[in-house]
Amino acid sequence: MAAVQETVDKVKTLDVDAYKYGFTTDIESDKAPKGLNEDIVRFISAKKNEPEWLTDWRLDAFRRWQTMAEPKWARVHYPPIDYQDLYYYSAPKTAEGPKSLDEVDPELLRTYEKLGIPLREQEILAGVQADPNARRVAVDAVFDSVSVATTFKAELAKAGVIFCPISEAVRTHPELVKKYLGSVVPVTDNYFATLNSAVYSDGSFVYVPPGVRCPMELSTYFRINERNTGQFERTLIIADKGSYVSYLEGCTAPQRDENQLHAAVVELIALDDAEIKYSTVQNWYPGDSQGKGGIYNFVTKRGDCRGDRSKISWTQVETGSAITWKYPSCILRGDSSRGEFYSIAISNGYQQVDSGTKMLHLGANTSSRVISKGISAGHSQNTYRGQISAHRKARNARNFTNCDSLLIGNSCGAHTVPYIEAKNSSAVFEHEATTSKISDDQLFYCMQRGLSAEEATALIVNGFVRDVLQQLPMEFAVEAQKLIAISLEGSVG
Amino acid sequence: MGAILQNPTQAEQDLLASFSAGKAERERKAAFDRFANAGLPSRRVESWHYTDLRAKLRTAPPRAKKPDAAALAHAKDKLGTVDRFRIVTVDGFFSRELSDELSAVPGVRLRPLLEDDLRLKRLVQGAGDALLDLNGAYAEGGFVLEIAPGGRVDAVFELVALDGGTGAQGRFGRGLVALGENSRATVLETRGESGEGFSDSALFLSLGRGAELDYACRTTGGAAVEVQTIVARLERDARLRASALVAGAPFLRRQLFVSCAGENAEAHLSGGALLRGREHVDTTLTLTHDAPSCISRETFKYVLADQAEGVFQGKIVVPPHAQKTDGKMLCRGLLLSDEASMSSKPELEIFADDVACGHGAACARLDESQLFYMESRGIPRAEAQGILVEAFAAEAFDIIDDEELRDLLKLDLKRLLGTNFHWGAFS
Repeated sequence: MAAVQETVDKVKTLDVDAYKYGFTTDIESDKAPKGLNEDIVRFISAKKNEPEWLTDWRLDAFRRWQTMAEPKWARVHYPPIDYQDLYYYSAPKTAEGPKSLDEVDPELLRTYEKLGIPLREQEILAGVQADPNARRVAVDAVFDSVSVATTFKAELAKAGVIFCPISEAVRTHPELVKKYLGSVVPVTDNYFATLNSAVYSDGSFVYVPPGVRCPMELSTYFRINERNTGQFERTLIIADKGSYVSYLEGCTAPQRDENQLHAAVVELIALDDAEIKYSTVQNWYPGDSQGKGGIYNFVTKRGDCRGDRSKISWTQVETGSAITWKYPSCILRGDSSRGEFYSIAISNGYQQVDSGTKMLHLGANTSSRVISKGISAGHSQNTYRGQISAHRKARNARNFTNCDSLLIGNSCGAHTVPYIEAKNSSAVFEHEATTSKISDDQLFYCMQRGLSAEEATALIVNGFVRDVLQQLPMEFAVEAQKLIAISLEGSVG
Repeated sequence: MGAILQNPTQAEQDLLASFSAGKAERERKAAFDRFANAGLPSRRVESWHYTDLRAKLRTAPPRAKKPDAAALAHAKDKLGTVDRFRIVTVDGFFSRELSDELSAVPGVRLRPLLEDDLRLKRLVQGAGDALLDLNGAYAEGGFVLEIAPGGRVDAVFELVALDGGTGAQGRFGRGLVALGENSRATVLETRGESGEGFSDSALFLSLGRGAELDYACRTTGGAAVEVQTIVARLERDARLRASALVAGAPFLRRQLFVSCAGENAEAHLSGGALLRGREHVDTTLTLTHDAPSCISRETFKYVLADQAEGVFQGKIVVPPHAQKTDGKMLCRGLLLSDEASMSSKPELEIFADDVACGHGAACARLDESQLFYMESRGIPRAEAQGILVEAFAAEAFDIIDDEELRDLLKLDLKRLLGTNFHWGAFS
């Protein structure tokens, strides 16, 4: 019960208005002028020393983006975004890439310290650094748009794993980038993905060679720092035949008054017998108790199970963002491939979440599993939107979907919009969804045993989301549990 | 005319061209204007996601005229003799001649429908759909069946929709069944128009306080393109049990808009559909819990053979004031052929916290182990399949309280499976 007690203590000390990570770091940054046009796209490309094919790829995306319209089908409402009033590039000011951690701006290191990122190798996990067998986490830290330090590189290189900023991969492994970039999320996939293709600044690149089990969990931190900076991450992970990789992503952002735009693209490719596990804990600034400020998060995440018997698993804990628009999906192309989606989406205050998944069964004997837990409190709106489809050739496709919603308070909303499409008789699809509040009986039972209303709620919510928490890697499970408690602060009683 | 449609299709042009409203008909004009603005729904309209009517309906056939003597004679031939009170419409027009005389039945009134009926206005406002508006613009000669407060009629009323043998036409039937406070009735609707033309019918069900209605719609055959709209409103303590049996409709969209407007109302909706060939059946329902403590249950079953397409879209809406709502929705598809498809979209839209709402959706083929079990006990495979399919679909009719109506539906199902159904598809 230690963890629960900890959560409860956290709840007591925090307040919705006092966002834990709401500080800004005062360092100079190198910015592109406001607005978006072909010159800005060229500027970003030049800043990255990109080859011509990539510049053309970006320009093509930009031209297509100009002909597209912002999607309106999601259950989220926000004032129109002025895309010309944003900065599309900002980088911490260092003339050349740092060669070691000593060269990194100490201010920046302190910021990470506040966030609790285990940037330095010896600070992996407090208390376990002496144990040589301890699980290790490699961090490709992203500060605004540029990766400033990559740890554990040597050890990963020994295993043959390539883990570096995508801008670096373009130079060092152009053949891989050229082959896979945009092959899962096409340039014109959707409005935000196209925008990202045009102006993406940086992100992580992972390649795991055939038969290699990546020796450690890979991790990256996103953080939006500079005022009015749209951040456009691009992540590309390739697991070659028979390999395995687990990737962790976590986000925090400082407190802001203006809304900030984030449109990331994540592409995963699993070849024959490969497995990718992608975990996210997302804790961006959700706006204050009046719903002011907060991050707009429009993300396109998609995994392609390209090879037979491959597997992609998404796990996410969403507690932040004013607006979340995010549908991590799996294309189950290879025979006997498997897709999984585990999600906890918590909304409080005036947050709006429209999230879910797509499982597209194309190959034979493919299977997928979707577990989604939505918790709405305050004045928030929480929507699950998912699509499960079986192609004619997807013989023996199998899906199980479970989405449960929990409502706390009477001014929030929980919605479920699943699309279930079976186009062959051997497909077996099951879908179930429930919506309820925390039952009075459960609360009474807990309180009768001496817990306060808040403690009891925290306990019941932790039980409600347990199925998903269990899917998270150990490092994240603890953090996620804390986040859940913090996010629900102020919603009880 | 307020038509502002961009690039109207031929069908839309046909539909818009033939409109003329009398001076007094404000409601009709308003309905027409709403349709003229929206046009025929395509896949872009979320509630029509799986049924692209705009693409399906290429041209709109001419509107059916009030049936003449020949048409009535044609329809009369199709009427058998049954022990039920019949209310007959021909080409969408209410026919007093063919209907049974109800004036002698205490507490029952049958009369032509007037557009300014207040109950009707309220029901139309609660729905909002282009095809309902189209019906509102063109329907003439509708009927009202009224049951007086406290009235209890034991016999079954049967609404029979027939065609006058006039070929491909556009038919717009419209009817209102209004139950007064604490009354009770059983209504069977039988739709068996010819397989030609376009039909866009609307039936309104108004249930007063404490009223109770058993209603079932039996659609065997139907127009080439058919849309059936049912709009129901339940006052406090009212109970509605509405079921449907569909077989042999080439292209059918059934849409239900049900509102539990008074506390403690209960709505049970269900349907069983047998599809084969290239048939397309879409059931779309919106159930709004507009008052606290209402209960809703939905059960829909689809049996799909050949290249049939089944669609189910169900939405339970719970606004903030509808606390203590209890809603459960279930949709199941049984795929008998590799080329059949089933699409379902069960939605929950919930703004109140003290609720228990859930939905389930599943689709699969017949369970091999169940078949094996029956075969091992000496039941031939084809027969075993028949038993399983019948048991699967019949569950939908269990919600009906009236024994006569329930048995009638189950018997119909048995008959359809025995004679019409294409067993070769999966044996």
